Amino acid sequence: MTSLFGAIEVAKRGLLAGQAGLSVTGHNVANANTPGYSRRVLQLAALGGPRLPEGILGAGVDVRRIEQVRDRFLDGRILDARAGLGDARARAALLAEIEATFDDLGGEGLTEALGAFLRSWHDLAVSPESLEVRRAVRDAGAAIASRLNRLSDGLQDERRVLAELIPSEIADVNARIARVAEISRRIGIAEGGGAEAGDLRDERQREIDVLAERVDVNFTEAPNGSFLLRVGGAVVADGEMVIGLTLDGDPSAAAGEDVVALSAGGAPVAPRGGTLAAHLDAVNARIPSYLGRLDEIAAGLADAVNAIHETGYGLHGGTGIAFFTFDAAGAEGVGLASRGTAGRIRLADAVSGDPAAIAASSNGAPGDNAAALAIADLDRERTLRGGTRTLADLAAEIGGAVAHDAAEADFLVDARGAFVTSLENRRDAISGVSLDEEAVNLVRYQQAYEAAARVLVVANEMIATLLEEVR
Amino acid sequence: MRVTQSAMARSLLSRIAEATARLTRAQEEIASGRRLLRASDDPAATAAVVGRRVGIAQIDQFLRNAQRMLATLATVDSALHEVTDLLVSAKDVALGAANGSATDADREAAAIEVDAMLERLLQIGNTYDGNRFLFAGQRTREAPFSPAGGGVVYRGDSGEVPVRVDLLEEVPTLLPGTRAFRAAPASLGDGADLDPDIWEFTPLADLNRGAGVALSQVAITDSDGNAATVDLVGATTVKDVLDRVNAAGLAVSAEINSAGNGIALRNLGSGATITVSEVGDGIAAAGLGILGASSGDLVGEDLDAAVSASTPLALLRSGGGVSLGTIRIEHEIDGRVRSADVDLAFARTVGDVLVGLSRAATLEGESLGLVGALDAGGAGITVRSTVPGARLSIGDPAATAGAAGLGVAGTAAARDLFAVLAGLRDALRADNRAGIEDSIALLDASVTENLEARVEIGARVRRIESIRESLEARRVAVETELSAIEDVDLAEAIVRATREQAALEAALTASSRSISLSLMDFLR
Repeated sequence: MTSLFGAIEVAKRGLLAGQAGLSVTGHNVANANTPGYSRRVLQLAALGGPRLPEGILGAGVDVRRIEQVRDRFLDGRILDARAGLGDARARAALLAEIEATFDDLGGEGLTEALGAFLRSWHDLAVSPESLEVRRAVRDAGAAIASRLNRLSDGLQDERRVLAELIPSEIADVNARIARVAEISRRIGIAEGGGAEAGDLRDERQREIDVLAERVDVNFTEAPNGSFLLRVGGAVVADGEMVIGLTLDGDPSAAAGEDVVALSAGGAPVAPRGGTLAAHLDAVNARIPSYLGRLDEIAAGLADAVNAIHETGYGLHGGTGIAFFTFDAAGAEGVGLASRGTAGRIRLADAVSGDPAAIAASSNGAPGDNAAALAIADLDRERTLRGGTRTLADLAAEIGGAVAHDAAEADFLVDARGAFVTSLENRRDAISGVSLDEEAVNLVRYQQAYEAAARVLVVANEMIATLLEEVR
Repeated sequence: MRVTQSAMARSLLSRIAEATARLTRAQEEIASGRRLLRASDDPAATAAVVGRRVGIAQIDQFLRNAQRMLATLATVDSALHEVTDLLVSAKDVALGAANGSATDADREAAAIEVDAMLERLLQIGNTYDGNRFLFAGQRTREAPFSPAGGGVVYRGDSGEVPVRVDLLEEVPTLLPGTRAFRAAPASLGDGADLDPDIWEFTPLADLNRGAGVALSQVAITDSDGNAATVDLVGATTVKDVLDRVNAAGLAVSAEINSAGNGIALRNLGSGATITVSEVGDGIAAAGLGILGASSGDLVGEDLDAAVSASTPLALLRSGGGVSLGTIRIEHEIDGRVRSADVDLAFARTVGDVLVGLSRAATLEGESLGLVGALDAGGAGITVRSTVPGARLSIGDPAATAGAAGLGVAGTAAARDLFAVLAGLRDALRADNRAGIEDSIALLDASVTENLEARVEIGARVRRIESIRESLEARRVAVETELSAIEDVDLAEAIVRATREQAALEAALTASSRSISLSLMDFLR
């Protein structure tokens, strides 16, 4: 049996559905520009009514639930891509700075400084007696030594700054992991009633997205709401249990080639992406490898020049004098790493104090220039790497290595940036708010509301008609 | 596909950012004029740029070296030029004094003049260019020449100072004083007459001290009164002459005389007189020492053969021969003695000896630096030092006499211009005519040496000039390459900048249209 009051009830449900639609659309429109917001859709269902002999009458519409539109698989892909982009960006920024210190194109490169030093010996060969030329050779020697010192110190500084940055980065990462766990706890409470806590989920996703730029992160959620957060394959949060990352040792106190390592709950962790991975790689491998090359050049230069210089004679007949020397290792507490040969090379006191001690002569006669010529010839003598490389080769190689690495990092920033953008566009295509769509929905809900209201008016009039007849 | 407003905004923004970046890049390239702004823009091209810059810096260094060397060589040359003038006027003075009418007073005045020249020569020898003494070899910090006991001693060495003017081109800058002021190097054996006999194979050209024989026809009448004319034209050795005379059908036998130094015609006829006379204007008979008539055999004169490379050692010393074993040579260069016992036992001819001397080396394999040569007069051989300023001494180990036999035993020092001038001065004071004549000959030789030194300096200057030209050409080539790698193609960059600007404007216009498009505007 049907009743007119039943029709009013149906109309009421229609009105409520229209109102709900309006709020969902309003929420979507309002959050159109909120980062990480995934649009909501209203899930409506027809409500069955009492069974009559004629059939089942509908009881109107039922607002089932408000759902988020979201693609979990795409979310995971975006995390990976963001970790890659964070790694490339951090590397590009670091290498841009290192590249600027090497500055091969500006005419201030190591190759040219080295060439200028060796060429100054040609001037000495032309006039081995001239004190003025000797001073110029001494100054060129001091210049190449301080150039190596500055390059080495610059790289050491870069390494120290990064090493000091790593603990605070880890603290930040751990804080975000804790926040993810906390939000998850609140989601659990909020969803206890069965409703989806969309805003909390959006917030958690936003947090994980940011985390992915720092370190490669993997998030999996079970249907019962429990989740696992992994970094570099190791679990850092399991449900409400936050494990976090631990720094092994104190990087600012580490010396030499000591490796800065991470662990999670006792198991070693090697991040494969994100800024943290780039910084760890720079501190552990990249900068030490550049430093190693610089040290090789400094040691090679000092060995080759000294080997000739010590057999030569100064203007006053002194012999056996070294041209370059090294400060004692670890004499200055630089903290992170004791300086290598490139950081410690300098002119020998005998030479810096008295340019007449520079040995141009190989037989003691003040007019002889054989030693000066031999040193000038070092620019094409293959004295390094078992007689396969000249000093200039190695100097060009280190500049080239930095340039190649920087070019690669720049390329990766562009390529991975484009990848992240395309993935985000795809996520937007699924989860983003389209204002046109919402406008259409608005019109739909408005019209449905108006129609439901019309049903109410008609039902009301029918009841009135009936009451009139009865009176 | 759903396209949301934020996705649209994001892609528009990134497109605009890309277009702006490309435009900025083009503008930066135009403003800096360079295609490469950072090494990472093109690491390979950067390496090429650095390599070429280093190459240019190196070329500049070599050009600078060449420039400085040319300046030094100009100073050296002007000093040597002044030496030439001094030597020429010294010779004039000597010639004036050698004149028989010169008085003691004239010679004293000449001696004073030569003394002043000696003084000036000393100053030139001690030329100082602000940094170093130019004629001191490598001992450039002290004056190389200083007066001592009426003469001058050299305190420099014979080292040279090579300067690199290209990768593999070394040119010595300085001329050691021993070379620049050389009159004659140390030599032994001058004037010794080894007096070789002749044999059948002595070339006719070696006869008469190497003057040879002007060959023509010779008329010979034997003691039986038979006459014949022998044509000697075309003969090259003593044997040819003997054969032709013997083939003339006369009653004479032509052979080498018993002294071994000339030709003899043995009388085979019944009479007593052999007559040899010239035919026409010929002088062949006289040249062969057999002109005239004889009673009995006609014994020719000493033909005075010169020493040549092919002369057998056995013919030397009038046929007494020189028997060689080992000779001892000491060659003192810059105070260091290179010495060797040179084994010449293998030698059969004078040529063998010369080769043996020139190749003589110390036990360590260091060359002694000697040249063995035939004496200019043809009488013997000479051993000369190739190192200016060196002392040479040759002797025989006990119980041998090889060096003495060759006439090269003894000790000799190099003579420099100071010694020549001092010798001239002393000869003038002592009225020593022979000494003055000697000095004139030495001055002639000195002028030749001096000119040779100047030719050497001139050759160095020309070599440096030509290297400098090729360096400058290379520099231009490398700079062109560098510019091709490093510099921006301005026309291309400007076109690119204009294109990027148009693209950016189009992107902005399209964005402003599409971003404002919304259904909201159309719903009323």
